[in-house]
Amino acid sequence: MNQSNAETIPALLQRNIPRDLLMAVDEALMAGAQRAYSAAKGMDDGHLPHVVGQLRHFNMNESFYRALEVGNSAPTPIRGNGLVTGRAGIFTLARFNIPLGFWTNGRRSCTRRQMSFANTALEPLTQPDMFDHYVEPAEAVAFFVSCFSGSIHNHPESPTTIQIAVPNRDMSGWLFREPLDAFQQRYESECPIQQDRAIPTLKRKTITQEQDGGKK
Amino acid sequence: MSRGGIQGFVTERLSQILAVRKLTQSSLASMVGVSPATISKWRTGSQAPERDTLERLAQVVNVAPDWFTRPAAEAVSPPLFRSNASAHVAARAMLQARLEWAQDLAISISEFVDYPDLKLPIREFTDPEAITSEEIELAALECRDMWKIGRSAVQDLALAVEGAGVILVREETGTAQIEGLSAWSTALARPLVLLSADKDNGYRSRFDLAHELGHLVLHREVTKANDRDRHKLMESQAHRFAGAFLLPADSFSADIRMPVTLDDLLLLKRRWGVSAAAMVMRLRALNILDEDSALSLFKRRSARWGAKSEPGDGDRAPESPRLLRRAIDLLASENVMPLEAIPRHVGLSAYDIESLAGLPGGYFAAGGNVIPLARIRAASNRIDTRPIAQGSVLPFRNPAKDHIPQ
Repeated sequence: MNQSNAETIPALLQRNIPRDLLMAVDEALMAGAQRAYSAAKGMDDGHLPHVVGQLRHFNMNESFYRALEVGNSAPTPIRGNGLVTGRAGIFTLARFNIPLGFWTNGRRSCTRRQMSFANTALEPLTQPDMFDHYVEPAEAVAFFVSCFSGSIHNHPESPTTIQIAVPNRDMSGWLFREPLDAFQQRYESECPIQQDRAIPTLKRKTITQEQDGGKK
Repeated sequence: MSRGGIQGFVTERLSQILAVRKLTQSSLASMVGVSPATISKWRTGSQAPERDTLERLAQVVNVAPDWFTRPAAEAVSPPLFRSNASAHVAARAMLQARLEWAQDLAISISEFVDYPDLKLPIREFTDPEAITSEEIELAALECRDMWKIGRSAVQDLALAVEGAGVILVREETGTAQIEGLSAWSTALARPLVLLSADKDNGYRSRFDLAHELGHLVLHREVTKANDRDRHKLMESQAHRFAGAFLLPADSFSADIRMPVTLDDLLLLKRRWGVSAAAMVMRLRALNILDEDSALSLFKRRSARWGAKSEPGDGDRAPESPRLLRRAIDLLASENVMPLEAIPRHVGLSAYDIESLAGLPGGYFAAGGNVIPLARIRAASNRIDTRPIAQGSVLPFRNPAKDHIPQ
């Protein structure tokens, strides 16, 4: 069996991103969103959605940065509108927010599109090619995508779901995406199949006696 | 030692058989046809039975006569019982003797076979007061690591325990108050666990086994507790170990959604193989639930399902031991000795060996490999659709009519 048959993107993510980091990011993004909403309270309704949106960017970037820092993922410094990225194994990790529905807005950032080009090497895992074989890459990109309801009147304080998503080379599609809580289950179900070791064996003495034709 | 009578009568064997068969000296005396005083003399060793009396004795208690002359193996360590206070002294003695029989059986078989190497974490606590909750959690995780079973639900605990070299027996004992007992055998250099099969609840049986495992790991060097408080402490430590082993803190707590509901726990019950009540206890031990929340869940549990059972208790069949059964199968299949010779070799009755080794009833009588056949329903209604072969048609005649005189 060649490697491309055995390898999958979730397995690659699981091997490279520790469960602890994944849980920390989940918690950080939730906390960042809640802080942003609390900080925006009292602002005029006319621009409240914009204020909440901007504060989400800053607060979630901060909490994401801290989670990466604690998880030894070497985050890039926080700088204005720039992306905060970290590293776990071969994966560069970044984040963005999006309303529920189609994820077309994810492509708006030029930096994200450039980063995603590294995932060219992962494409054979989902779109097998007769001539282009999969070789485990040294670089790949995964995003934590926080999906909000899209309305300030509906569940504005936290994302409705946070997903881990691996884009294709130009971010026109997704090679893999899954809610974080479902993805975490993969670590828990990572149980080695229980080996049957309750097996008695004949003593060497007994086997020898049998071969000699005698019995005790 | 003895006047008259056979040579080498082992008095401990008589005490064992009285305990196992739950007989008093006087009832055994009437069954054998001797006076109670004679039994008492045999028991103290001041007299031994005559040959024909020994045969009668062996027959009424269903063992081989020469079993009474076999030296008893070194007794197992004083067992720790998982039981409530009402458990009768005679029941405890019976189970301890039964555990010693399991030891005898394992020793007899071990003349020809090797059991798996013993793999248990070593803890040398001599005082249960010195055992902290953190130590218990660490010991449980170390046990999982040694057995390479990860941190998720244990698929088959009996298999894992036997794979670690523990001799496990699960049989109907007739004493439902005692759910299990465990002890160390010096002769086998490994521990033995006996579980009661009387309650027939797979979830409960798994927890009982994990509880006994806790005793084996934590209390190996602890002398038997005589006072009530010490016994209670050891029981609670074995409970904590069972919880920590079956529901590891990190992976189990990741499955818990707050606030905890009984229905969420019922879903987790299937996955983890642990009752909802034991999960509430574990959540309390991990401080995920405070005392009031745990109490409220217990109250709701009692109100909805009663105190003694939960929905889905019958979903999981109790796990069966297989090590002794496999060892006996191995002796027969490798022609080490004929199947019918095994009870003679062990000295116990076929029935007792079948019960201790988890073999189907009549295993030795039927020549082994008793495979229960699935019943095919409505087999008689099946329509034969094969084309009818061409051949001569024989007229059906009622033979009775043929003989009626014309």
